[in-house]
Amino acid sequence: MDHLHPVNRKARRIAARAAGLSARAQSADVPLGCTSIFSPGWEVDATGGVHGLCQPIERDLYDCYHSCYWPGQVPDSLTNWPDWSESCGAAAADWQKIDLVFP
Amino acid sequence: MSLRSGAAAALALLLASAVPRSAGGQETVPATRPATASAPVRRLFWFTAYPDLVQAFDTANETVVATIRLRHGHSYGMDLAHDRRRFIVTTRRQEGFEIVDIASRAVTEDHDLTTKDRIRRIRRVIELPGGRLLLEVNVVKREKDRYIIEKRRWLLYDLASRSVVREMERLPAALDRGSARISPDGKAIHVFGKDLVIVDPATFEETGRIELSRPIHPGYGALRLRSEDDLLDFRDAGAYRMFYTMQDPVEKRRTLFGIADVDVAGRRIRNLDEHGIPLPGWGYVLSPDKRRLYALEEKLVSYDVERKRKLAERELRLRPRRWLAGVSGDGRRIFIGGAGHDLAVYDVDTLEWRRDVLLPNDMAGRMHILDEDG
Repeated sequence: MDHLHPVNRKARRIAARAAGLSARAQSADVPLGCTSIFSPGWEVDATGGVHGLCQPIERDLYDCYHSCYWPGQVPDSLTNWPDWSESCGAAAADWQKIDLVFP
Repeated sequence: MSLRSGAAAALALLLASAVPRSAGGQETVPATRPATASAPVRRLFWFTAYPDLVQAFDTANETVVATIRLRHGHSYGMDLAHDRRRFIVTTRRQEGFEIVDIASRAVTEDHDLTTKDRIRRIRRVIELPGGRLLLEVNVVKREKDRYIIEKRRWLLYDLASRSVVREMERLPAALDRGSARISPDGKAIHVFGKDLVIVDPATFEETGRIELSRPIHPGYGALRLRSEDDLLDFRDAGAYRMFYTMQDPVEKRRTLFGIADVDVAGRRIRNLDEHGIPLPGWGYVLSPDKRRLYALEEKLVSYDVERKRKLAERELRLRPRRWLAGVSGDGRRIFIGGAGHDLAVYDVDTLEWRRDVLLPNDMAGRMHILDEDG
């Protein structure tokens, strides 16, 4: 990216802010969405970090279960475990109530 | 249709560079005048929540004031009916839907589409005049030893008789041209796409058209109306006043936005009020009096609709999957929601964070903003 030079105040400010960051840190500044890894415990986003994931993951657990069908990590709501979320209304607050499933 | 576009966002950054900034990295421009002091309305945010609820959040006291338990599990989508008194909520693992009556805070009907030999899962709901729905469904045939995935179909469903009156392989052509909704007078279907197509709900034939795709002046681009919001609240049978976007007639790479007055009876665009470069963001929300617009991307931006000028902006460090929920009924607070069970509250003038409000349940799906008068 050495061929790009800031030409206005805004661009100079962004350049100054990014000057002390590594390339990975700069790219991780933009949330890129969900994980592309299907190994439980090793979820990372497209940059190799966790910035693009919901933080904490419990905040988004039900959307993974209900609409995203994140197959490696959560039960599926449509076919096998439609009642999985019944024991817990707010996953980040009382995730301990969520039961395990055994396929 | 969103006001967002890559070119627009880039140009909005240029626009942003022209405003003064405070020290400390955050950009802010004080509002030239405080939020309008029009009479507050009682405004509720309605949304579905886990595990199987429809809830209403009162923006006045910042608490959940209504919780309705659905009969058949959690929601796969909630649509506000044309009368603004009911929600159509897809449940039963997408195999049916329930009608939620807003006034009585109760589920009043539930409908099951699955039959003995076929599972039918709802993908999309279009409400029609006369108590009918068009339902796009995935169909799975149940055989003795296996399931067979069949072609997706459209069902014309009558609520009163609780039956499918017609099955179609495709959506009728006149409806398949954009986002369909019942006209404000309740008599026709208006399809917002490249043009605004007026469709007879009985025959599904096109009965009229307002050409948005034909430039109204040489060099202009096609208009794209944002049909989710009408500044007339969908209450004027003969007119819409909607935000539009259009390719800039001079700088082709950028998009303009403004307000279009649509004369439905006269089948024409009555007036275009150009505002300039769209605000960056994934959609926007309006203040109750519709004089202010708020947009959120990496910055929260406020915009004076009457004076056509940006009032303030503030860079926010939000976690992923956060978006604008709406503005309070008194017009003083902006709520940012998203995945999770918390709403962040911001001041409309300074755009500063005030507090987080914790809800009892995780939110799901989109917010429906309803004021007390409907």
